[in-house]
Amino acid sequence: MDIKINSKQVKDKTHVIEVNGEIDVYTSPKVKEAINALIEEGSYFLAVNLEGVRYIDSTGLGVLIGALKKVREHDGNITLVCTNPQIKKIFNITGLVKIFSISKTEEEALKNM
Amino acid sequence: MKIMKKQDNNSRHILTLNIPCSAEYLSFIRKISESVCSDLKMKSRDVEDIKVSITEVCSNSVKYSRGMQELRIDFSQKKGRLLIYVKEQCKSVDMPEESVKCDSAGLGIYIIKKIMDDVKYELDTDYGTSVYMAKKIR
Repeated sequence: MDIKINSKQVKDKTHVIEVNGEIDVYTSPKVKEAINALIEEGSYFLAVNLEGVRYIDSTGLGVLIGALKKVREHDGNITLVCTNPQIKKIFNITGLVKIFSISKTEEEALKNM
Repeated sequence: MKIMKKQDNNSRHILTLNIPCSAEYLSFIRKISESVCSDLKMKSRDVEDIKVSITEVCSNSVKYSRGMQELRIDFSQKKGRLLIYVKEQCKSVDMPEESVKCDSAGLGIYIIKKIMDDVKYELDTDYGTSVYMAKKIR
């Protein structure tokens, strides 16, 4: 099992992070590392594209929550791109839909930042 | 790693999986779970719920128990329900309250309780935690 993470800067302090694969205890440290590296570089507005994610568990959610706490300390934000109903279901039942803005496209996610 | 498939007269026992308690096997556990559910012709959304639940239970074992060698996962069928029993195969060292240090603390158990029809935990500091879960086959 592998996970692929790509990021691109779209404007000052703003990145889009594309994640592909399954996010669980095994792979979430890589996601955490990639997101934290961007935050440490001063990118406090992150759109995380989960369109290529087939599976996410509570550890993956924990990584996103932890990252959101960090960027909010700098008045930043994290928005998500996700249309997979199974992934959205996890965000719904945990109530995280109230914390994260979930969009259908990267453009929309950047607009909702 | 051992997979045992029994055929009993009542067709209740489906499969037993003895697998190392390690994060790298979680994906494999999901694949086996998917295969068991597909054989039972379960709906895809229920299959995904079961994959999430089993992963959450096994992840807890991986995260909070040190020195554990194996996890035993039993799949069986009874009265139109898929029953899943996950048993840690040695002493659990850390207690669950330690999980508050993590951002995902408690989320996993909350998710399982929301998506499974029945969940039961048996905490045993000497012999590890056991979790029973059930999902209606429809």
